[in-house]
Amino acid sequence: MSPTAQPNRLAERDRAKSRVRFLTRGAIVAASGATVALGIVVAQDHPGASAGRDAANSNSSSSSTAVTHNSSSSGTNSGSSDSGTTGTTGNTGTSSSSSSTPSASSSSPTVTSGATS
Amino acid sequence: MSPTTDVLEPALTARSFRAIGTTATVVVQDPGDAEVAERLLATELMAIDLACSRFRDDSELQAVHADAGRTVAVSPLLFDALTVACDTAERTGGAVDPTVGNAIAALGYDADLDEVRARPPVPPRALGRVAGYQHVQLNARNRTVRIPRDVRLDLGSSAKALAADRAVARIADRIGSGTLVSLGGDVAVAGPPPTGGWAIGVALQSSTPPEEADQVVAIRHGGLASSGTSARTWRVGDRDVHHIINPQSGDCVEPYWDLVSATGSSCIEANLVATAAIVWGERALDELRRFEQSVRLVRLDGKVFFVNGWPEECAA
Repeated sequence: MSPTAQPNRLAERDRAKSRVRFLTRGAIVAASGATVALGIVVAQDHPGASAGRDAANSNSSSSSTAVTHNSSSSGTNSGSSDSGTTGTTGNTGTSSSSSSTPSASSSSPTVTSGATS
Repeated sequence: MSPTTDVLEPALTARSFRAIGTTATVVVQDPGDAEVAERLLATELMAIDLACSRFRDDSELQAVHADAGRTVAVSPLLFDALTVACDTAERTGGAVDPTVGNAIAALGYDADLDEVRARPPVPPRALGRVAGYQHVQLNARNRTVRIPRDVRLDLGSSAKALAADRAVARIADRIGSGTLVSLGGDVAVAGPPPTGGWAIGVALQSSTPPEEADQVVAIRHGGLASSGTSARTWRVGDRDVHHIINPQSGDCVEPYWDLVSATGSSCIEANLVATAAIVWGERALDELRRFEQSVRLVRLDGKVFFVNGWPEECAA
């Protein structure tokens, strides 16, 4: 493949970017002054990755990365896989103050975000 | 299209239907708004499909392909989609690049996935490094695009995220209430959220019933998107391939992460990080330092990593 076209003109690209951002974020309150740092937490195994749904039902006292959410109760059934890589190393950085940071929820979800099928 | 309706607690109503090769869902807080919300979403998706599909001969994108090497005037919607795709490529250092159209077609993904899977496996045919987004010429003043000869575009995930953002903003504005739109698990929300925010399940595959998700998180605005290598797969030669292309090799990405989910100030912002992290592979944790999006990464061995404040635990 041997492209012959010239690269975009920066000014045009900038205008276009501004336009799209306006269009797609019109209803969004932008985060301002957010101090963002990086924190990486290594958690225990993710049961859904290879162990399937059964793993979510195994008992563990550690923090959960997989939860079977039961909308008929106020809580959740949590558990972790038994591969031994449990435990959390803790935040090596910091948490983010970004306004788009998600929070844990005990509500019944309406949709699932995952690999698109 | 055979829509389904679910009444959810408390007073959340979801409407789902198949569109653009995936499941489209709109969730509203007043059941009386469901009808118009669904109609607006369907209209938006028809428009994005007609503008951006590389599978239908009558799409505007196919007209751009047919005129490759020449400057072409395009609709505002396609221009926006092209701009988002190139912006995404630029911000991810080329990890997510729209000029992978030929590469993914060479791997057999040149039609709806059901059709691709129904065919006999074809020999692998990776084409090598793609042309690169830098060679897509966009002129905002004239709203034109020029792509090099023999280059084809795949606007893929960025166009889907754009559609989610556009649709949710339009619906929320029309009904005057908080709205959630999900396109195959790429989620955008707008308007006042329900108490506690919009609860969204996270699971390896978006087809997982929400009540069976691995984790439940809530967002109040913006978007949440996930990318993975385990869902859109098909057989090529003697191997399974997936739909996320490494622009450097022209082949599908060697899986390192099973799933990457991210939030952002829009679905576009979330999607670009989630998809790029899949391409970056092991480098993702370093690359993500320059982004502010919150990210959850599930490695192939099952370990889960959190970046920028993704909640470690689900609520109990």
